[in-house]
Amino acid sequence: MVAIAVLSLRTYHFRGHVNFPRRHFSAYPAFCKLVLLAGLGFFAWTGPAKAQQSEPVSRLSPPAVLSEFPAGLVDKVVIPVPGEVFMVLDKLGDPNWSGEIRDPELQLDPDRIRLALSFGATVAEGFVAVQAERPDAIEATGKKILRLAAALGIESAVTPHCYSILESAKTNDWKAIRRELDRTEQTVRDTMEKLQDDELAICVSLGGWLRGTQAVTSLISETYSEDNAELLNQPDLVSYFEETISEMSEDAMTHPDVAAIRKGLAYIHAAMTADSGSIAVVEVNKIRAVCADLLSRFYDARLATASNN
Amino acid sequence: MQTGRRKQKGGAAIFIPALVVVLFGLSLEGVRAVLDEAKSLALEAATPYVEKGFLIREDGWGGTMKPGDTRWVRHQLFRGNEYWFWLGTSYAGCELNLEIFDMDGMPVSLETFQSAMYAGARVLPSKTGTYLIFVEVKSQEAYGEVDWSLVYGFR
Repeated sequence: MVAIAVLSLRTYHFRGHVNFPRRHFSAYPAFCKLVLLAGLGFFAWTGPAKAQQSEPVSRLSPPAVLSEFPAGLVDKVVIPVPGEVFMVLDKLGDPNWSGEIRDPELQLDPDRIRLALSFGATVAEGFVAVQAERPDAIEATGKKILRLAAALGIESAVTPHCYSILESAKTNDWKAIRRELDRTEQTVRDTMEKLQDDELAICVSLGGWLRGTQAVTSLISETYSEDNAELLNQPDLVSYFEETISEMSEDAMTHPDVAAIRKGLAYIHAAMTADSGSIAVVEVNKIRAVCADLLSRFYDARLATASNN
Repeated sequence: MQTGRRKQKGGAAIFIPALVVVLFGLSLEGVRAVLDEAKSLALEAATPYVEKGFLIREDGWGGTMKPGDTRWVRHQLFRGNEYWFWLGTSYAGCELNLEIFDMDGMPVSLETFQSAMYAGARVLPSKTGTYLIFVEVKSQEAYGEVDWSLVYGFR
């Protein structure tokens, strides 16, 4: 029975990366669903609270075409926080986080898209400051977050988080600061979504991802290893951002910064998938340069200069 | 401490009208409240892991589904981190299934647990990349739809 199930499902083996269509909820062929559920039921769930081994008990290969997916593919993508990536770098070595801290002059542009991008990048800056364990940088970042929130008209939602960040910085409670930074970004995205400003919510995520990726690539470039570079294996996340931008309103999509980001993401995606295995140092440097150039538009103009050096 | 909904084990007579109100009352706040309760339960399952150093994300996934239906969530994981995923529902008497797969379709959960209203799965990714999370909520009760919420933490 196992052999039959495995052979049946091998038809649907993956080949390479998958581009996730965002709105596919089609049903899978019934027999595959049965085999899948039977496989899961038979092998995986044998009782409550029972620890399981990760033996390759069945090849539940997702189909190459996700429109044939066995069940509803959830549309939503959760963007990892910068701290999630930074933590791995810390485990792999002793990165110079202080060297990655930027303290750009805040540009309180009336342009809300630019403000949202800058907001995301500033929250990511907070994560860099936490990794560096620099209370001064965290305090500066907390104050900038407050000012950006005020400019976006969402100060009341963000203020409690900022105070919490500033308080935790006084006691060097890094864990609490990481938690509050995550909460801050989530609160802002939720508030924007409630106000039907979904495009701004995406811009917050984009700004944060670009700043986080720029910091990571900068550190990986300094002490390149395949293990470090593997952190950049995020092509599906980049595809998600590209697709999300392509679904924005005409006004948002043609915004100079958003248009530049869209173009930049295509380069980043190509760099991430240039080699079949590891990501070479030359590709890491390309990703770093693209991120820096994009950030120089709305966050820190000096980054463009730095990326050219 | 159990909420009202959680006490309704087998109380379909009370529950179904409430569900109708939620689904057809066109009250976004009502829908949000139900989903928040599922998320609260998922976070309740996560609580012991905070003391073990896991940072729980604020963001997550959720919605409603018919009992027996399944959902797949795709998510970026990083080799070097350890992850726990927690699934919750506010509907009593459900059986929750949660499993993590790599993109080759291999199950990668190192450990799982299931209890009355939540389930968890732990993974140590062997590669950085996209993973698929399988979510299933089954019930013997005649629920039209059940809520679910999935959150995760890492260290």
